[in-house]
Amino acid sequence: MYNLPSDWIQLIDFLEKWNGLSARGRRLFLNFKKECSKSKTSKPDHRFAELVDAGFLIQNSKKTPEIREDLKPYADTLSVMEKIPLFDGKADKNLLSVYLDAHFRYSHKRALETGLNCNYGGFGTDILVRELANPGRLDDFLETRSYSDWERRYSKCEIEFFDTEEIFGMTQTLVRHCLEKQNPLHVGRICKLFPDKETVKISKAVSAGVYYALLFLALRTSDLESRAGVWPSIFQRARRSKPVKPRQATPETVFSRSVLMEDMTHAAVQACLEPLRIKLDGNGIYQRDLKQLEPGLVQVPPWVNDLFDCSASGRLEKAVQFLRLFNLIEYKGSPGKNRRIETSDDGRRWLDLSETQRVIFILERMRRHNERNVAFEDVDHSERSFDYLNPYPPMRSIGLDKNLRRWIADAFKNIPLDTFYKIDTFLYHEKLQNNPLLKIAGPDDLIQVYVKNSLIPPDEEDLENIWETLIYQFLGSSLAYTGAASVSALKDGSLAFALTDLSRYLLNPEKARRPVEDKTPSVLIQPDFEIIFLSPSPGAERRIGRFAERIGYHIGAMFKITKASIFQAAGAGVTCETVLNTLDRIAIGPIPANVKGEIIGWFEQFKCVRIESGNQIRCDDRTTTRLILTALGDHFKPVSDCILRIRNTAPKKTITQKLMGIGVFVKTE
Amino acid sequence: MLDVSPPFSIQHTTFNINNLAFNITFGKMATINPSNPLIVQGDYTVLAEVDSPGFTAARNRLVRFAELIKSPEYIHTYRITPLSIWNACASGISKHEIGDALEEYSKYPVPEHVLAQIGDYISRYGRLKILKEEGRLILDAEDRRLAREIENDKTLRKLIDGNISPTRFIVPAVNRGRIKQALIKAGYPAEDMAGYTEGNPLLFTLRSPSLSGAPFELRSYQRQAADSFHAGGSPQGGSGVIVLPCGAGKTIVGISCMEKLQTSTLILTTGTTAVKQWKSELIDKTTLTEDQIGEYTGEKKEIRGATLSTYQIMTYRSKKDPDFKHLSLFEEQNFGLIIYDEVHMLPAPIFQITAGLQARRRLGLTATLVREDNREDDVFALIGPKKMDSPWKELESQGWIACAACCEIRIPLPEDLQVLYAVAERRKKFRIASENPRKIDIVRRLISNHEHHQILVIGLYLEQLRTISEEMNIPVITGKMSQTNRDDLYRRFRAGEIRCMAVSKVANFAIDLPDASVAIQISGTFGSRQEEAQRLGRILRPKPGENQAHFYTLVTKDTIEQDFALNRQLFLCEQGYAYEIRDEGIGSNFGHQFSDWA
Repeated sequence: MYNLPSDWIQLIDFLEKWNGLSARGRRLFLNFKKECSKSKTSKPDHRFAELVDAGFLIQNSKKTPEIREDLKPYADTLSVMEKIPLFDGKADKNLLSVYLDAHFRYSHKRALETGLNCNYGGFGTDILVRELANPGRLDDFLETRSYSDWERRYSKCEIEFFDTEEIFGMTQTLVRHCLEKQNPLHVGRICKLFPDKETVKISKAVSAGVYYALLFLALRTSDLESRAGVWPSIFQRARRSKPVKPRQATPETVFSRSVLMEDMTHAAVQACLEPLRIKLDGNGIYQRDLKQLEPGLVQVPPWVNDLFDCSASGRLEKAVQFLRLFNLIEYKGSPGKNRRIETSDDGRRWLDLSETQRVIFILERMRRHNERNVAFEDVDHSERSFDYLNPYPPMRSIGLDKNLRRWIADAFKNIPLDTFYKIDTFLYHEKLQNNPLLKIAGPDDLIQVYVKNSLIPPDEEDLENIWETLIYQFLGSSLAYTGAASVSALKDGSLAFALTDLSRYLLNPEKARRPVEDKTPSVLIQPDFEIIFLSPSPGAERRIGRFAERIGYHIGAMFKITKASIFQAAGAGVTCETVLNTLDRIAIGPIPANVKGEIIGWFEQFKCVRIESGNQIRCDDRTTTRLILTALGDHFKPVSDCILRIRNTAPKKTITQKLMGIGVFVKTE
Repeated sequence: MLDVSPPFSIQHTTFNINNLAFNITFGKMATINPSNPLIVQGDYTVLAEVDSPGFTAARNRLVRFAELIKSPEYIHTYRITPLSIWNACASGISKHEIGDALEEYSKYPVPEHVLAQIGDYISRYGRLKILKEEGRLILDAEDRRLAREIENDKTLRKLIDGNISPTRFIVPAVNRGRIKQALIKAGYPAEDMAGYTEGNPLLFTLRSPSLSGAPFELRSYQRQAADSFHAGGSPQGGSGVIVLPCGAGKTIVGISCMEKLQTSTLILTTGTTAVKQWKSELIDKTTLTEDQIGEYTGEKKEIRGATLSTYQIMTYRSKKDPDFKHLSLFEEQNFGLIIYDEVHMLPAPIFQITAGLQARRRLGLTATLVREDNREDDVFALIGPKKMDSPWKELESQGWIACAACCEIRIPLPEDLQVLYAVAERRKKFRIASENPRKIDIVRRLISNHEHHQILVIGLYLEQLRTISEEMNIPVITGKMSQTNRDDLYRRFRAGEIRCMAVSKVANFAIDLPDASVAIQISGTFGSRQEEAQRLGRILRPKPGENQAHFYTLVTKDTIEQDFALNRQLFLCEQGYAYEIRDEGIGSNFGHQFSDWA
């Protein structure tokens, strides 16, 4: 073994003493050990008095504390035990694999693999881990009558750990005790289980249990107390309660928005106004563009965000992913050069739809898309398909596609709308009571399910976890994220969900009712040039954004028409007629007279000049020439009525900006 | 192509995603309700939709803790500021009342951070109290930590005079306003519970009808304003600012407040003409007699139960003597109330002295609380919170002020001035554009088109005004004219003996010319928003008949005057006045067009 010392009598004794320290003392010792491993010097410190008194540290000749020489191997063991927290409810098979790697030698692991087909596809550890986490193995152990029967199973093992039937019986007692008790066993209390046995025997029983991976040693994270127990999932499965049918919950605070639709809308509007630039490697949008988009994202409370499991940039990427999938945006430019995202014609039409229509469009497209494509990465397909059920599936399957989709939909289909249920109760019930995977999967079946990144057939625990994850992800990433489900935080801090009417578009399309659309216009133009959106209207947003400055997002004061924004628009080829027609069409009531007058005036002020070869600009008429000389006379020298020479006092970029400031747009020939 | 449009007309049932949405605030479910009038924005502004059925109820709740910023026709904008919240706290509003009001009337979920910030502001109020004990002012801190913060703050330390316990400080009476102001800046507003000086009694009643025999009764909003200021005589009232449009009768509100308090009053105005107007209103509308009203101006130095003075005289100092010798007037008399007319004009020395007058009741009156020096908050901190702010368009729709048609006429610069303009420096450019000689012709035509109206031609540059005066043969009033002559011209204008008159900026404020219905602005002080509004205000007194006023502003096209004009109009635009813009090129058919406007 790597990190378990050979002298188990000493180890048990050490761990007993360890548990006798205060939690603070234990933490101090481990920190001290970490510091010592970095630096060999440590200053005298009264904080270590407890450790010195307990004999864990000694004062050397310079009065600086150090770990007692004979305790150093145990200190190493403690460090590893601390790093692998088994008894904190998070233990999964990966952690078991880490535990084995940390404590067990290769030869020992090979011994435990006896009888298992661990050479298959390089998944030996996975197979061993599955075997060790299997409750059946523990049952076998407890039912085995003789130690020799047990040890015969592990023929590759060169050592016999159970010397006698007595030791074997003691280990069985220990394992049985650990299975029955609520918490893993305090190491200091192991001896009390066997009051009339010698320490040598007790230590042998413990070490044999550990070597056969029947018992596990770890430090409890909360107080670093050393504990012994069976593999947590075996313990939990042995003691878990019977699932009950989820009951209706009373919502406390509720969140119900189609975050995906709002994010997609936001990204599409922005891509209309200014293309989103793609990184040179073609992977994602430029950070700067993402940062500019982030302030406009809908605020999601943290407890909801946990369910979505998505950062702001992740949400944007997802929105772009969906926009692309539904052809609402298109990629322009050649790879590696000026690659960008622009809203497609379909995208513009989508933005003109009402909020409800936009959500329904997404949900219907999701459903139809999945009817055409495989649901999950299939071992026969090299590319992973996109799936509304879950873009990042925790599993792969052979031949499960359509069934799986139906099963997931079935899990939600018959839930009454607008009724809240606790999510954890629902998931628990689903994984144990309604889990279709348990009914179909098996190593010999034609239809197979695999845990992601592994080709080892899953065990029951895996299938329960996969189903739970699938249902949870579908609820979070598909239903709640699209507004097909509302989420509520309950008084006890847990979460509940309720399906909304929109869920029908995903789950029960035949029952979906088309909405009556509210056609009331909702955009107002104020005499102070502000444009107010009384309700979200991305169609209007993308049109107005071409000639007005953005001052807000979604609703409220969204844009302001300014001289600069009109000049900018005119420079981009927008005409006065377009602006006035757009405002006329979109706004409630007439355009305020002053706003209309100023817009016309600004367009009239707007002029265009061409930069000719060298440092010359050509104006269209004498008025423009005069305007430029009036405003920026220092920078130009007249050559003729319509030609001006740029003085070499300012960079061309500055000149261009200054000209733009007075409404003169510069074209380069 | 998208394939979603046709089926949406099927009318099975009403379905709206909005009805499914909820928000998370104060532990309640808040549905999105599009018929509600408010939109609470993340920048602490609140938009209120005027046409919504719930507008009036929402507005009545909102004004208690948010400040009206602009009020154009359809959407009014309010802002929630620390000061507005603290003023709300001072009048006894709780966090839940604010949260409930926002949630009840909001179309969309109220941003969480807005509610959290309001909660934070509220939690800061009342942790410090100003008390009066044994004739001394005491600043009482809630806990030691807060007391330590005060001790460690350089500005605050200077304003206290030792402590009587670790959490109680002595504040000199003269520093009462300054310490309140400094505490607001430090983010811990003090609850002032020290009360007011009662002042000498001044007993009178309002007349009905007025002395002149004309019917007189307080209008509902005037009564409401006075009640809101007085607050039933409670400590929550007695100091504050009333914002009413020009022509809405702020003087009457001031008189009504005086009548409620029945205490000697000092009234500070912007000029002698305003002093005389106040005096004549007091005599006409109240039982006060001439001998009870004193004038403290350049001409007279009378101090009586109701004393009228001007900001100029209060801040006057001779070249030899650097002290403001008339400022002592504030303390010489035991005034129970000080009225600051056109409070937006409050000069810095008056600010300073006002800071020391916190024991006296204070009333600020204005139509345009827009200060180009951004000291609006100082007005609120030293005079008191905004007690009422009536949107201009609302009073217009009720007929209390005249409807005004605003028009900007753009006139090209003559070619001979274009070169001069091109080479001139910025300030000079503005003047050249303002004095565009082509404006004179437009003025002439406008005057002839409004032959049945009383007209004011308002300008900044005296030379320009004199030219117009000579060319049109109309009198001109400037600051150089003696007060007697000015008064005489105003009187003749009011009597209808003069139909048209040119005035300089002396007539910007507080001049009551009830029958003037047309104002032609030929030049102004750069981009001053309040000057524009005040000038419009000169013609807003309700008119018999059509109750219509016309405001023309003449601007030289394609010059910086046009840019300044845009800024000048901002305040009025925010009140809902939309300027029509007319371009007057050479050879335009002026007569025809102007007839249309008139």
